[in-house]
Amino acid sequence: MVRTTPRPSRSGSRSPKGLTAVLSAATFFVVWTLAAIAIERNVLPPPWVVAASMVDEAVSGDLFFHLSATLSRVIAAFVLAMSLGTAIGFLMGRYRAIDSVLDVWLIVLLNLPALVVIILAYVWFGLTEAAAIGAVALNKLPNVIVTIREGARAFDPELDQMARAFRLGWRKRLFDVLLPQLQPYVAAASRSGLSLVWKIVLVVELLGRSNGVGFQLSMYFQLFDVATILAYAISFIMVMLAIEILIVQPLELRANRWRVRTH
Amino acid sequence: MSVPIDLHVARKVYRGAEGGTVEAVRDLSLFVPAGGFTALIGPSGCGKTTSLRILAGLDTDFEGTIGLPSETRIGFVFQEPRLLPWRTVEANMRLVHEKPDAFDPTPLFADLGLMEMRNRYPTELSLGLARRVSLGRALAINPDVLILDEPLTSLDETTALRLRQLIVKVWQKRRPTTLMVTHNVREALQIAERILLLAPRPSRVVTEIRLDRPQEERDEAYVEAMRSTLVRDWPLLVA
Repeated sequence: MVRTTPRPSRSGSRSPKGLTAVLSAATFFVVWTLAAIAIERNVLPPPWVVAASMVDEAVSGDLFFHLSATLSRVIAAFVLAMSLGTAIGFLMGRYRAIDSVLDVWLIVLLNLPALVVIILAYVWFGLTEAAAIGAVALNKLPNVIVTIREGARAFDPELDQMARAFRLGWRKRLFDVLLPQLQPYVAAASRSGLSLVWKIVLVVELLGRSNGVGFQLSMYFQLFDVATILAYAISFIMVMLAIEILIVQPLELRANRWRVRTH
Repeated sequence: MSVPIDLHVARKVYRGAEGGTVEAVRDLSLFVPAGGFTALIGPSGCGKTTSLRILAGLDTDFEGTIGLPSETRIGFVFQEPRLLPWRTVEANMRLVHEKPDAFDPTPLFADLGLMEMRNRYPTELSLGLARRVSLGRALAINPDVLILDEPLTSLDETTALRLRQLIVKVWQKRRPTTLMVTHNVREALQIAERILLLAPRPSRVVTEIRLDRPQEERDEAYVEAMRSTLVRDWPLLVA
């Protein structure tokens, strides 16, 4: 696609924004180092000790093994929660009858503590992978439903009417008319979803799995090895950051390409 | 194939949120011969748009008969263009076609002067261009019936003139049975074959005016003369 008009405000603001981010990160490491010097070394190790422990774990292969275990759980639970939540939220926003039937259960689910869901899932379904992923997905599900339902309530009736006037089939109505309207809501739900899911995955791993970042954290907590705990936490945050920059942001840019235009 | 429009609305009642009712249409009969071009004129709120919605099957809560074969292809040009903002101009046109991949929109683009716009998004278009795309979309399905709901409002005079000529051109070329709602008498006098004058709520047809002179030969004087006659005869209905 040819874009004739570049957007000077965007490209112009990119480099200062990058610079600010670098400066901000540098300040963080300086503060961390100063704090590590002031506090006892075992409680808050300085950045280079954490880095060394990260290298150790990486060389032994443990880091990647546990990172990938956690990451695959995050992806599975995320996909499950997003697809189910989008479908249910869509139906609830679109059909009042379904909304009134499911609304009370939605409120129950929204207020059910994550820990209760996890424990019950393990008790009822055993310490299995399916129970772990299901419990995480169930914790994320109500937020997705609530967000998508708002989106489905805000569907443009004029476009609906257009679709009816031209007798569009359900496939076109869904994929060309309705889902694109949901896109910002899906983006919002997945943004908050990805971060929430990985935090809950750690709890699930801590309570009932024998691998993954959560499992490693509980092990090094018992050894009071703060450096390795930080090494694992920071590694996974970096993975999530990479997903954000390499996958989520390009996807959003693509989905919004019809918006990012000058008038 | 063009088909005649034979709409009869015995009664159309709107129910207010607090339970009150407003009778919008009573005993309204609209007939447009196959391939004809009829304009509906009447004061605002007289049920013109309601009738179009009923005709297109968008409103089924009424008493009466639509009188169109069920397989009739209806091309609807709404007052606002109602394009999908996330699809390009071309994709918007293809969307409504039964076989989007087999459909070649190039001749339509050429007719409507939209060749350069096919890969643009609707948000990049002026209102006049978006209206043209909306007209193109209605024509893309090769409609038996073309419904135009005030297709020229809030356009500047030059753009409106071009679009008027365009509507006449595509109508002459393809001959869909065309029904246009407008409140602009000059506009109707310039492009329609026939005008139906509606009385306000509950609306009904009060008179029919035939315009036998071909559209190309209708000059300013003709339109003005016709308009003066209409204003004289129907001072309350024609502005």
